[in-house]
Amino acid sequence: MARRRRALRPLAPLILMALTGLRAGPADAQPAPTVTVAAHVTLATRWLDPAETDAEITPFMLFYALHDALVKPMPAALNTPSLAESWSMSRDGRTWEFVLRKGVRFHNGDPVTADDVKFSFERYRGAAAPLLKERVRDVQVVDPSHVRFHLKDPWPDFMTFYGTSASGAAWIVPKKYIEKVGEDGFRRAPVGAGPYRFVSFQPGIELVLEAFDQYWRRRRP
Amino acid sequence: MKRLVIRSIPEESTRAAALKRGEIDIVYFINGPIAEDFIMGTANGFSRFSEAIRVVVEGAEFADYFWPAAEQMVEMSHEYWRTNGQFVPNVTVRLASGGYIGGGLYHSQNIEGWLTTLPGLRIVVPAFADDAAGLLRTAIRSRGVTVYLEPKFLYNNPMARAKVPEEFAVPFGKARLRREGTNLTIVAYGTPVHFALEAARLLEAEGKSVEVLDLRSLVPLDFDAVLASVRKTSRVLVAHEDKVHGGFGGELAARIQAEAFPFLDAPVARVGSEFTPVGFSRVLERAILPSTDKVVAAAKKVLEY
Repeated sequence: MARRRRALRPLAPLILMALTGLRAGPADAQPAPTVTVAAHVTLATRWLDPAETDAEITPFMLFYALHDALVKPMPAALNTPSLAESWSMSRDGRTWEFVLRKGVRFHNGDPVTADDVKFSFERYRGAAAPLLKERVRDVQVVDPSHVRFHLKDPWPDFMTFYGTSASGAAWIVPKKYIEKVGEDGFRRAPVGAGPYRFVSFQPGIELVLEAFDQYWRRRRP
Repeated sequence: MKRLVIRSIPEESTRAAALKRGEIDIVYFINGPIAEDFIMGTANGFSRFSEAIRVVVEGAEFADYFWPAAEQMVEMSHEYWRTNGQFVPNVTVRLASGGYIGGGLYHSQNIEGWLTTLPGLRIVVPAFADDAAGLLRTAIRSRGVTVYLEPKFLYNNPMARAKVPEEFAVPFGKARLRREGTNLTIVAYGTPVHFALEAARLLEAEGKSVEVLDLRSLVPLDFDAVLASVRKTSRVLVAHEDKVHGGFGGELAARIQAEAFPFLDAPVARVGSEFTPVGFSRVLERAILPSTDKVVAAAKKVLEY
């Protein structure tokens, strides 16, 4: 229970209310130790894993806390650089190259690398998987911080599907960790690269997350 | 925050009850029937649970559909006075207002002429993106009731673009001088601020220097800023989207003439909508609503007086 009377800083991606109460307070008050959000849905286990992203927006309320994407919608723009600090398309429109942000780590301390990007894309089996995989010929790891997506044909809408909530394919999960603990292990204790790390989950009831002190982004873009 | 807990409470009234009891801090989706009086009454009642709660009524639909909520709105406007300050509804009401979308009589109304007759409400109308963010932030952080009118013509409209600084907040009752001039003052708010600016550019080509004052806040009103500009230019045109008949421009014109009569070289003029519902047809809409052309024509009359 989170009985408190202190300032609550709005969680930009999480507030989607038609009518709601926010406990306001002095702007300089300390952030609350715990904030409890009442979700309007029954929390599904599959929503902790970006590979399972269905064609609906709801799981993203968990992704934005637990995970991070190469590129994702943020208040600044539909395609906001996140784990990727930049990206470019080749002149022929068939290759998209992403440059990963340096020094970013998953919650277990593993660095986020191009291997994880390739692994996450290949593991992705969500609603947009047929569409993306039909068009992407290969994902090439150039070096730990560069990854190239080779398309079969030019596809100007690539980032519309890859870099937005139209799919979960750009949300990065840790390759080494999943290979070590297996799919079931990952489902029981997911590790991400988002601003909050996993603490506990009672399927359908409650998800508890804790602030990840090493999260790279310090200010809202 | 150190810890984030996301708890499933699929049933809506249970979510609301949990918020009331302080078990949770944020709720997703408290909906209700599309009944505007219910929405406004709930907001009023909800804000009583704690002084710290701020309620945002996000569009009791368009301003056009606000009339069923009028009874609750009037009630809410009285609360502070009626309880001798013991209870303040901390509520921000966002209303999408105005026309220019081909929406006809049920999606084009401006209702601030009526709203400004109710003591106990703050009424704000942004014309640019930075003021939209800044006024909303101030409204949500403030005690009391703020009606925040959003000119829907300006949604996603490049003309309203502005850089919004981090944590930008606009104080109530502070007008913004959008353009300096010496021959005429156009006092405007909302969409017509842009008509006034365009008119000022056109009139500049004819050698006329036009000042444009963006009120931003109707109640409280920055009348000092209006007076300062009138003393400088001696000629005033008030431009708003609401009807001229019974619109807020009447109050402005009356006050200007009462308090700055010695400074005036011409009667205070007004541009606004015709005294009729807004038609669906684009032809009718153009004929009924104010425009840059109408502002230019009225400005010329004042300048030539």
